[in-house]
Amino acid sequence: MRADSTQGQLETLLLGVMADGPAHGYRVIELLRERSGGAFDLPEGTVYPALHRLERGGMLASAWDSESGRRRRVYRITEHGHAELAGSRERWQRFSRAVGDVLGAPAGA
Amino acid sequence: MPERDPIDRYLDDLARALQVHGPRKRRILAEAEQHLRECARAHGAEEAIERFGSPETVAASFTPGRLSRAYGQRDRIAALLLLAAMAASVPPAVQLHSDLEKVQSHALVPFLLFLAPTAVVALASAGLALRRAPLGVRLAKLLAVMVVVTAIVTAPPLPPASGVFSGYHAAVARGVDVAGCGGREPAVCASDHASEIRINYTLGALALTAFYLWAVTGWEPPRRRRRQPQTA
Repeated sequence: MRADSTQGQLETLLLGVMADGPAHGYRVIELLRERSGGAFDLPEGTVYPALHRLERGGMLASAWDSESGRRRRVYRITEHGHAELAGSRERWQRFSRAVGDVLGAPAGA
Repeated sequence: MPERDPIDRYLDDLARALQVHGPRKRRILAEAEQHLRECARAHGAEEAIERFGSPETVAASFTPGRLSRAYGQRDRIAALLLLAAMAASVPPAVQLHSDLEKVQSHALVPFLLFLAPTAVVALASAGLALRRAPLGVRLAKLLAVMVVVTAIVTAPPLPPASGVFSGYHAAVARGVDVAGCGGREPAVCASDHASEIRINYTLGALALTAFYLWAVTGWEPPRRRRRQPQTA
Protein backbone atom coordinates (compact mmCIF):
# COMPACT_ATOMS: atom_id res chain seq x y z
CA MET A 1 0.00 0.00 0.00
CA ARG A 2 1.28 3.45 -0.89
CA ALA A 3 2.59 5.64 1.92
CA ASP A 4 0.03 8.34 1.16
CA SER A 5 -2.80 5.84 1.77
CA THR A 6 -2.11 6.26 5.46
CA GLN A 7 -2.15 10.09 5.31
CA GLY A 8 -4.01 11.35 8.37
CA GLN A 9 -4.39 7.84 9.76
CA LEU A 10 -0.80 6.96 10.57
CA GLU A 11 -0.89 8.50 14.02
CA THR A 12 -4.09 6.65 14.91
CA LEU A 13 -2.57 3.40 13.61
CA LEU A 14 0.52 3.97 15.74
CA LEU A 15 -1.62 4.60 18.82
CA GLY A 16 -3.45 1.37 18.03
CA VAL A 17 -0.16 -0.54 17.96
CA MET A 18 1.13 1.18 21.08
CA ALA A 19 -2.05 0.31 23.02
CA ASP A 20 -0.66 -3.23 23.46
CA GLY A 21 2.33 -2.03 25.46
CA PRO A 22 5.63 -0.11 25.30
CA ALA A 23 7.82 -0.69 22.26
CA HIS A 24 10.83 0.83 20.54
CA GLY A 25 10.51 2.39 17.09
CA TYR A 26 11.69 -0.64 15.13
CA ARG A 27 9.25 -2.92 16.95
CA VAL A 28 6.38 -0.45 16.47
CA ILE A 29 6.97 -0.52 12.71
CA GLU A 30 7.23 -4.33 12.68
CA LEU A 31 3.92 -4.58 14.57
CA LEU A 32 2.28 -2.12 12.17
CA ARG A 33 3.40 -4.22 9.22
CA GLU A 34 2.42 -7.55 10.85
CA ARG A 35 -0.98 -6.39 12.04
CA SER A 36 -1.86 -4.88 8.65
CA GLY A 37 -0.86 -8.09 6.86
CA GLY A 38 1.96 -6.17 5.18
CA ALA A 39 -0.45 -3.53 3.80
CA PHE A 40 1.21 -0.66 5.66
CA ASP A 41 4.71 -1.09 4.33
CA LEU A 42 5.96 2.49 4.68
CA PRO A 43 9.52 3.83 4.38
CA GLU A 44 10.40 3.03 7.98
CA GLY A 45 12.19 6.31 8.61
CA THR A 46 9.02 8.29 7.93
CA VAL A 47 7.25 6.69 10.90
CA TYR A 48 9.51 8.45 13.42
CA PRO A 49 8.17 11.95 12.72
CA ALA A 50 4.68 10.63 13.54
CA LEU A 51 5.97 9.11 16.79
CA HIS A 52 7.60 12.45 17.65
CA ARG A 53 4.37 14.34 16.87
CA LEU A 54 2.38 12.00 19.10
CA GLU A 55 4.92 12.56 21.86
CA ARG A 56 4.74 16.34 21.45
CA GLY A 57 0.94 16.05 21.62
CA GLY A 58 1.21 14.20 24.94
CA MET A 59 -0.22 10.96 23.50
CA LEU A 60 3.04 9.05 23.79
CA ALA A 61 5.94 9.28 26.21
CA SER A 62 9.42 7.98 25.50
CA ALA A 63 12.74 7.35 27.21
CA TRP A 64 16.09 5.74 26.35
CA ASP A 65 16.36 2.19 27.60
CA SER A 66 19.44 -0.05 27.77
CA GLU A 67 17.99 -3.01 29.65
CA SER A 68 18.23 -5.43 26.72
CA GLY A 69 21.91 -4.54 26.26
CA ARG A 70 21.07 -2.24 23.35
CA ARG A 71 20.27 1.41 23.76
CA ARG A 72 16.79 2.07 22.39
CA ARG A 73 14.17 4.78 22.61
CA VAL A 74 11.10 3.09 24.06
CA TYR A 75 7.66 4.62 23.53
CA ARG A 76 4.56 4.06 25.65
CA ILE A 77 1.04 5.33 25.28
CA THR A 78 -0.22 7.85 27.86
CA GLU A 79 -3.69 8.27 29.36
CA HIS A 80 -4.30 11.06 26.89
CA GLY A 81 -3.19 8.73 24.08
CA HIS A 82 -5.65 6.04 25.22
CA ALA A 83 -8.48 8.61 25.25
CA GLU A 84 -7.55 9.84 21.76
CA LEU A 85 -7.39 6.28 20.48
CA ALA A 86 -10.85 5.50 21.88
CA GLY A 87 -12.27 8.60 20.15
CA SER A 88 -10.53 7.76 16.86
CA ARG A 89 -11.78 4.18 16.98
CA GLU A 90 -15.34 5.33 17.44
CA ARG A 91 -15.08 7.87 14.61
CA TRP A 92 -13.50 5.29 12.30
CA GLN A 93 -16.19 2.67 13.03
CA ARG A 94 -18.93 5.23 12.34
CA PHE A 95 -17.21 6.32 9.08
CA SER A 96 -16.56 2.73 8.03
CA ARG A 97 -20.22 1.75 8.64
CA ALA A 98 -21.42 4.77 6.67
CA VAL A 99 -19.12 3.99 3.71
CA GLY A 100 -20.28 0.34 3.84
CA ASP A 101 -23.92 1.42 3.83
CA VAL A 102 -23.37 3.60 0.74
CA LEU A 103 -21.21 1.22 -1.25
CA GLY A 104 -23.06 -1.91 -0.20
CA ALA A 105 -21.74 -5.44 -0.22
CA PRO A 106 -19.30 -6.44 -2.97
CA ALA A 107 -20.96 -7.89 -6.09
CA GLY A 108 -21.50 -11.67 -5.78
CA ALA A 109 -21.25 -11.61 -1.99
CA MET B 1 41.66 2.72 3.11
CA PRO B 2 38.97 0.44 4.68
CA GLU B 3 35.48 0.84 3.24
CA ARG B 4 33.08 2.74 5.49
CA ASP B 5 30.07 1.10 7.07
CA PRO B 6 27.04 1.78 4.79
CA ILE B 7 24.95 2.70 7.84
CA ASP B 8 27.51 5.35 8.83
CA ARG B 9 27.43 6.69 5.28
CA TYR B 10 23.64 6.75 5.31
CA LEU B 11 23.60 8.59 8.66
CA ASP B 12 26.04 11.19 7.30
CA ASP B 13 23.73 11.72 4.31
CA LEU B 14 20.73 11.95 6.62
CA ALA B 15 22.57 14.46 8.84
CA ARG B 16 23.22 16.63 5.79
CA ALA B 17 19.63 16.36 4.55
CA LEU B 18 17.94 17.01 7.92
CA GLN B 19 16.67 20.53 8.30
CA VAL B 20 16.42 20.48 12.08
CA HIS B 21 19.19 21.27 14.52
CA GLY B 22 20.48 20.77 18.06
CA PRO B 23 19.11 18.12 20.42
CA ARG B 24 16.24 17.24 18.06
CA LYS B 25 18.64 16.42 15.28
CA ARG B 26 20.88 14.37 17.59
CA ARG B 27 17.85 12.40 18.78
CA ILE B 28 16.65 11.73 15.22
CA LEU B 29 20.10 10.49 14.21
CA ALA B 30 20.45 8.35 17.34
CA GLU B 31 17.05 6.75 16.79
CA ALA B 32 17.77 6.22 13.11
CA GLU B 33 21.07 4.55 13.96
CA GLN B 34 19.44 2.24 16.53
CA HIS B 35 16.72 1.35 14.05
CA LEU B 36 19.10 0.67 11.18
CA ARG B 37 21.46 -1.46 13.26
CA GLU B 38 18.54 -3.43 14.70
CA CYS B 39 17.10 -4.00 11.23
CA ALA B 40 20.56 -4.79 9.80
CA ARG B 41 21.00 -7.61 12.34
CA ALA B 42 17.91 -9.30 10.86
CA HIS B 43 18.07 -8.29 7.20
CA GLY B 44 21.53 -6.87 6.46
CA ALA B 45 22.65 -3.26 6.20
CA GLU B 46 21.63 -2.70 2.58
CA GLU B 47 18.05 -3.86 3.11
CA ALA B 48 17.82 -1.93 6.40
CA ILE B 49 18.79 1.23 4.54
CA GLU B 50 16.40 0.54 1.69
CA ARG B 51 13.51 -0.07 4.09
CA PHE B 52 14.28 3.06 6.07
CA GLY B 53 13.78 5.31 3.02
CA SER B 54 16.08 7.72 1.23
CA PRO B 55 17.77 10.39 3.42
CA GLU B 56 15.85 13.08 1.52
CA THR B 57 12.47 11.39 2.07
CA VAL B 58 13.13 10.80 5.75
CA ALA B 59 14.51 14.33 6.29
CA ALA B 60 11.56 15.93 4.49
CA SER B 61 9.12 14.01 6.69
CA PHE B 62 10.59 15.75 9.76
CA THR B 63 10.21 19.30 8.44
CA PRO B 64 7.22 21.52 7.63
CA GLY B 65 6.86 22.22 3.90
CA ARG B 66 7.74 25.90 3.51
CA LEU B 67 10.76 25.80 5.80
CA SER B 68 11.85 22.61 4.08
CA ARG B 69 11.69 24.20 0.66
CA ALA B 70 13.58 27.32 1.78
CA TYR B 71 16.27 25.20 3.46
CA GLY B 72 16.49 22.99 0.40
CA GLN B 73 17.19 26.07 -1.72
CA ARG B 74 19.76 27.57 0.66
CA ASP B 75 22.63 27.04 -1.79
CA ARG B 76 20.82 28.99 -4.49
CA ILE B 77 19.76 31.71 -2.04
CA ALA B 78 23.40 32.06 -0.93
CA ALA B 79 24.57 32.19 -4.56
CA LEU B 80 22.07 34.95 -5.32
CA LEU B 81 23.18 36.85 -2.19
CA LEU B 82 26.80 36.57 -3.30
CA LEU B 83 25.96 37.89 -6.77
CA ALA B 84 23.87 40.72 -5.24
CA ALA B 85 26.72 41.70 -2.91
CA MET B 86 29.14 41.79 -5.85
CA ALA B 87 26.73 43.92 -7.87
CA ALA B 88 26.23 46.24 -4.87
CA SER B 89 29.99 46.77 -4.60
CA VAL B 90 30.24 48.16 -8.15
CA PRO B 91 28.81 51.70 -7.49
CA PRO B 92 31.15 52.35 -4.49
CA ALA B 93 34.08 51.15 -6.63
CA VAL B 94 33.09 53.51 -9.45
CA GLN B 95 32.77 56.37 -6.91
CA LEU B 96 36.20 55.52 -5.47
CA HIS B 97 37.69 55.41 -8.96
CA SER B 98 36.22 58.87 -9.64
CA ASP B 99 37.61 60.26 -6.33
CA LEU B 100 41.09 58.85 -6.98
CA GLU B 101 41.17 60.23 -10.51
CA LYS B 102 40.69 63.69 -9.07
CA VAL B 103 44.04 63.37 -7.27
CA GLN B 104 45.72 61.56 -10.21
CA SER B 105 45.98 58.33 -8.21
CA HIS B 106 45.94 55.09 -10.22
CA ALA B 107 46.19 52.85 -7.17
CA LEU B 108 42.79 51.30 -7.81
CA VAL B 109 43.99 49.51 -10.97
CA PRO B 110 46.50 47.16 -9.28
CA PHE B 111 44.02 46.54 -6.46
CA LEU B 112 41.28 45.63 -8.94
CA LEU B 113 43.71 43.35 -10.78
CA PHE B 114 44.48 41.74 -7.43
CA LEU B 115 40.73 41.29 -6.78
CA ALA B 116 39.87 40.14 -10.31
CA PRO B 117 40.67 36.40 -9.86
CA THR B 118 38.57 36.32 -6.67
CA ALA B 119 35.70 38.02 -8.48
CA VAL B 120 35.94 35.58 -11.40
CA VAL B 121 35.97 32.58 -9.06
CA ALA B 122 33.02 34.03 -7.10
CA LEU B 123 31.02 34.60 -10.29
CA ALA B 124 31.79 31.14 -11.63
CA SER B 125 31.07 29.44 -8.31
CA ALA B 126 27.76 31.29 -7.82
CA GLY B 127 26.67 30.60 -11.40
CA LEU B 128 27.50 26.91 -11.06
CA ALA B 129 25.89 26.74 -7.60
CA LEU B 130 22.67 28.09 -9.11
CA ARG B 131 22.78 25.14 -11.52
CA ARG B 132 23.90 22.84 -8.68
CA ALA B 133 26.98 21.78 -10.62
CA PRO B 134 29.54 20.05 -8.32
CA LEU B 135 32.30 22.34 -9.62
CA GLY B 136 30.48 25.24 -7.91
CA VAL B 137 31.17 23.63 -4.53
CA ARG B 138 34.87 23.09 -5.32
CA LEU B 139 35.17 26.69 -6.47
CA ALA B 140 33.41 27.85 -3.27
CA LYS B 141 36.25 26.30 -1.24
CA LEU B 142 38.82 28.04 -3.43
CA LEU B 143 36.84 31.28 -3.08
CA ALA B 144 36.95 31.01 0.72
CA VAL B 145 40.76 30.79 0.62
CA MET B 146 40.97 33.76 -1.78
CA VAL B 147 38.64 35.89 0.36
CA VAL B 148 40.72 35.16 3.46
CA VAL B 149 43.88 36.19 1.56
CA THR B 150 42.10 39.37 0.41
CA ALA B 151 41.06 40.09 4.00
CA ILE B 152 44.66 39.65 5.16
CA VAL B 153 45.77 42.17 2.52
CA THR B 154 42.94 44.65 3.07
CA ALA B 155 42.64 44.75 6.86
CA PRO B 156 46.15 46.03 7.86
CA PRO B 157 46.24 47.28 4.87
CA LEU B 158 49.05 45.80 2.73
CA PRO B 159 49.88 46.58 -0.93
CA PRO B 160 48.04 46.85 -3.25
CA ALA B 161 45.16 47.79 -0.90
CA SER B 162 47.37 50.27 0.98
CA GLY B 163 47.83 52.34 -2.23
CA VAL B 164 44.07 52.72 -2.56
CA PHE B 165 43.76 53.97 1.00
CA SER B 166 46.66 56.39 0.53
CA GLY B 167 44.95 57.76 -2.58
CA TYR B 168 41.69 58.03 -0.70
CA HIS B 169 43.40 59.97 2.13
CA ALA B 170 44.86 62.34 -0.46
CA ALA B 171 41.47 62.82 -2.12
CA VAL B 172 39.70 63.63 1.14
CA ALA B 173 42.54 65.97 2.16
CA ARG B 174 41.88 67.89 -1.05
CA GLY B 175 38.19 68.18 -0.27
CA VAL B 176 36.96 65.30 -2.49
CA ASP B 177 34.11 63.19 -1.05
CA VAL B 178 33.87 65.02 2.29
CA ALA B 179 30.05 64.86 2.49
CA GLY B 180 30.02 62.70 5.62
CA CYS B 181 32.88 64.42 7.43
CA GLY B 182 30.83 67.00 9.39
CA GLY B 183 33.25 69.27 11.25
CA ARG B 184 36.11 66.78 11.34
CA GLU B 185 39.55 67.52 9.91
CA PRO B 186 39.88 65.94 6.43
CA ALA B 187 42.79 63.72 7.55
CA VAL B 188 40.84 62.44 10.57
CA CYS B 189 37.72 61.99 8.43
CA ALA B 190 39.70 60.06 5.81
CA SER B 191 41.15 57.76 8.49
CA ASP B 192 37.70 57.14 9.95
CA HIS B 193 36.23 56.34 6.52
CA ALA B 194 39.14 54.12 5.60
CA SER B 195 38.82 52.19 8.90
CA GLU B 196 35.10 51.73 8.38
CA ILE B 197 35.66 50.50 4.83
CA ARG B 198 38.44 48.13 5.87
CA ILE B 199 36.57 46.67 8.84
CA ASN B 200 33.03 46.61 7.43
CA TYR B 201 33.95 45.33 3.99
CA THR B 202 36.41 42.77 5.32
CA LEU B 203 34.04 41.39 7.97
CA GLY B 204 31.11 41.50 5.55
CA ALA B 205 33.05 39.62 2.89
CA LEU B 206 34.24 37.00 5.40
CA ALA B 207 30.74 36.52 6.85
CA LEU B 208 29.12 36.28 3.42
CA THR B 209 31.74 33.82 2.21
CA ALA B 210 31.36 31.66 5.33
CA PHE B 211 27.57 31.60 4.81
CA TYR B 212 28.00 30.81 1.11
CA LEU B 213 30.49 28.03 1.81
CA TRP B 214 28.19 26.48 4.42
CA ALA B 215 25.15 26.73 2.14
CA VAL B 216 26.69 25.24 -1.01
CA THR B 217 28.72 22.49 0.65
CA GLY B 218 25.92 21.44 3.01
CA TRP B 219 28.54 21.26 5.74
CA GLU B 220 27.42 19.80 9.05
CA PRO B 221 29.34 19.55 12.32
CA PRO B 222 30.83 16.04 12.72
CA ARG B 223 28.43 13.59 14.25
CA ARG B 224 29.43 12.36 17.67
CA ARG B 225 29.88 8.62 17.50
CA ARG B 226 28.46 6.53 20.28
CA ARG B 227 29.81 3.08 20.94
CA GLN B 228 27.30 0.32 20.42
CA PRO B 229 26.66 -1.51 23.68
CA GLN B 230 27.45 -5.19 23.28
CA THR B 231 24.52 -7.57 23.33
CA ALA B 232 24.44 -9.57 26.49
